[in-house]
Amino acid sequence: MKLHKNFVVFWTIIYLVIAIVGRFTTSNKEIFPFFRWSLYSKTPNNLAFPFIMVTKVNDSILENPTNILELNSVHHLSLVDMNLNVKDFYKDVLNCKANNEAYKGDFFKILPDNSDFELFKKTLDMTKVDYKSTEEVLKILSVKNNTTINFER
Amino acid sequence: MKDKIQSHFFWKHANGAFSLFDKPVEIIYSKIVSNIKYSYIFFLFLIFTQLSNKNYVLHESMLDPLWPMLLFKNISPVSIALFCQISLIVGFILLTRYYNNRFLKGFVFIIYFLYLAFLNSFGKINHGHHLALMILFCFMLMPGNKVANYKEKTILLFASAQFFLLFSYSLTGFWKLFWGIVEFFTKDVSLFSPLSFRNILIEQFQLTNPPLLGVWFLEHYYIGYIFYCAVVVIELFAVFAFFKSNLHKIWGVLLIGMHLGIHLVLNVNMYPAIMAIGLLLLMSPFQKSSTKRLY
Repeated sequence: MKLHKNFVVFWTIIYLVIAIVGRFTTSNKEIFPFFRWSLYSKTPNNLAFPFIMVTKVNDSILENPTNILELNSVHHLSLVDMNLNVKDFYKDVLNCKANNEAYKGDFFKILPDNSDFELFKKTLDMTKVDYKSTEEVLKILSVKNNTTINFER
Repeated sequence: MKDKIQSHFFWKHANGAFSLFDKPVEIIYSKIVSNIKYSYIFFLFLIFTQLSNKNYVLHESMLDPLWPMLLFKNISPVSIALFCQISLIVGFILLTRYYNNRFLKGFVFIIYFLYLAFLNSFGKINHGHHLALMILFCFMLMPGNKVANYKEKTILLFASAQFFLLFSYSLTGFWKLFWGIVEFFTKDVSLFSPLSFRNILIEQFQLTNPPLLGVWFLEHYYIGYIFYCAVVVIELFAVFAFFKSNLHKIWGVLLIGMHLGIHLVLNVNMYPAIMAIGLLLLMSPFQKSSTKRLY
């Protein structure tokens, strides 16, 4: 009976400790399935939204550049998963750029070989009431045949 | 029951006015057993909603396997998905009959845990199923009928599951308030500005098409901000509702209303969370019935 009475307190402490340790020690910021429940906790002030426009899949050239989020039939990832992969790719690319290295991550596994795409970043200043007038779109890089990265200078 | 927990440093707070343990142990226990039996049917439904999700199984391998999946990273996703789904369907069906079989409960918890780890090994960790996993964890620890004081122990574990559920919502409210205060001093827009609600909508709608209500609130964000503040209050004080049995159903309705609002405005679904709220709060075995039975 003592164990069952104390379980609620002990498990809450264990859960919180692992959730906080996971926040600071892992790339996912959590050790599954321990989560600190910080959903929608921060207020976005500036939006930096990376997105990818695909121009060629394998050997097929697309009629119009298409957002990778819409190519579910090619990559078979849900919208949210794909968006997170794009965000991670964007972060990795920035790190590579800072260190003057070529990108060698897993993102190229998502599309078939010989695919071409371009990475863009959309920014918005959301501290303004008229945020739409602050929109800017910047091209970050192009990828040819899923291997070569040409940084835009 | 009241006597056994009266002096405990945690449970004594659930033993004041509107105590969780006012009703006889037998009545609370029988209601919990009924909830548990129903729950496995709900879990079965959750697994059925996943059967049509072909996104994951069409991959050759997991993109970013979580730690429980590292052992299985060389196995094809379709095999893992099929094994987990079939095991869970069989497990939950058997549990509706043998609801207190400890082997079955342990087996189902482990497979559900692995299945969630698998579903979250493709880039994004989705927290929708975490509360459902927590329920299975607490059910797994409930003792069999041959253990001493098994009814009291089952009641304590069910109440613990309620606490964990409400505590997770309070954490969500706490972090919103915490970062709200930090950002009030460090950024232009914080929780204390109506633009905070609008900015969350703008960010969310970069990814998904806004629903009709979302578009309306984007234009009328001052009205939406009032609801947003109400949500923070409901979340923040959720854990206090645990200690008063008469608040269980009220908070259950408020939290489900909140999820309904999130779905209609942001287009974000958390079906397993609604199931957890329904089972633990709306069907709370601790709340006294408001109508007297005439028999």
